[in-house]
Amino acid sequence: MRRAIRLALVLAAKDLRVEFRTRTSLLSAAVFAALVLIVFNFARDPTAVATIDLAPSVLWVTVAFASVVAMNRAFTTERENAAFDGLLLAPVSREVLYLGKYLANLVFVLLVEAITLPLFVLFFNVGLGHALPGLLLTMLLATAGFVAVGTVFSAMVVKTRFAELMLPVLLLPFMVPPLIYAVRVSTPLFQGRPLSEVVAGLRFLALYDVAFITLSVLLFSAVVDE
Amino acid sequence: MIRLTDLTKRYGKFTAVDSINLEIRRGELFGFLGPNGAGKTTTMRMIAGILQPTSGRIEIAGDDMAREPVRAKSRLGFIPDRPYVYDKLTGAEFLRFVAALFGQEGAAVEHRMDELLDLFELSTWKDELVESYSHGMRQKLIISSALLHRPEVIVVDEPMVGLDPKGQKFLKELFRAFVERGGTVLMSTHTLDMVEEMCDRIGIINGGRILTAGTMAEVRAQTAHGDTGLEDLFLKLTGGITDREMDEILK
Repeated sequence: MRRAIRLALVLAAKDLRVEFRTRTSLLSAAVFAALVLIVFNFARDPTAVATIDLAPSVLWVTVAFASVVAMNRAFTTERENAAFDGLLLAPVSREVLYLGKYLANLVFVLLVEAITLPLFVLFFNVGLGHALPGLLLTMLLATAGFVAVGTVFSAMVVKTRFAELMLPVLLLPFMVPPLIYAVRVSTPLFQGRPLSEVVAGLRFLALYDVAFITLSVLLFSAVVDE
Repeated sequence: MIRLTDLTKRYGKFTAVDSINLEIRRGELFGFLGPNGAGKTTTMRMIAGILQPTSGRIEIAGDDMAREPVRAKSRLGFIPDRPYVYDKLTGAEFLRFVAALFGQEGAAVEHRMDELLDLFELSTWKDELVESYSHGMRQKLIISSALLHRPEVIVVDEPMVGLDPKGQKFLKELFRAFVERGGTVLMSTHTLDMVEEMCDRIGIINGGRILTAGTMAEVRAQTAHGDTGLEDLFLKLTGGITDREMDEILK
């Protein structure tokens, strides 16, 4: 088990090092998130819908699309020079390979969210105050789930001709449940309600994580071997 | 030692590799020949554990690739024709990464890495990003990475692509020295002169099936082609173009 975790961390560290040297995906995801927030900011009519009611949806729509942009990179670095074949011939199980890729993607998407959140606060003038710990927990739980699915799908589509197009088509339906619950949890938090009121939503997100991380680990081997 | 038993790979209805049986012993350099699309690369990718066979068995130094993939792979070094590298890592970072995947870290890895980089004249480039390497340098880097964990078996696909004559000579000597120390080399190439010069035994594959395997003398005897060279033998077995057909094309 310790060996598996160490190997997964080695794989994730390599991915993050390569990404931070290119910065293309991180920058494009961050710029994309900023653009979406700007568009929403200027398109909304504050007299029609209260900012506090609209803000959670805007935040999660932005996070969802920026995450797809970010996750597209997961296997494209491996496609160059057929580097993924190099990983497949290493004495590392497919499950550990998945875990390494998953960890790198998770850190990467969380970074994109860390850039998005202050921009969101800036554009929507939403005071996070005591909602911040709950919101961060929601972001972690929701992201952990859809990144698990996204990692499998990005491995699946990377060899196809339209990988960048295929990933959102496949992934977005699976992102709907965690996004709905993330919005449901975030709304009361933004309204200043206590964390105890959203426990059911957080529980659903945790359940989704367990189910889809397990399923993704099991499916990954079949995806990369065919 | 590499042992293939009824090894088969199918893609839908197409059979790329059809029930191959082959044994490559310790201390043997085996030349794997065949025309384009014959099934060589598919076979080698299955041996390396990149592709899963549809059926059949692969053993690397006694370890079954399906049952004990981690053990089998840790005994093997694979050198592809196209170097699997990351442009945004330095040569040293790439080698450290590969070593870590093989469970090796620390001072011993640094020492082994320096030894290999010296051997392949890459020491001055080790802290440069791989994107600045030439194809030959990338090939040397990938060969270094395949030797890093001291494998017992080397599987190599077109080893000389991109290497200068000095590098080619060095690699030939390296493979010979490796098998003389009890290692096993399975080498796929289209350079028939090199096969005649270096290999202990050869196998010719076409249409996913092994047509013949053995020493040059055995292959000649099996195919009843007398004293012909490897090139003629290869073309006769795999259906190469004749002089008359060439004349027709060029008319």
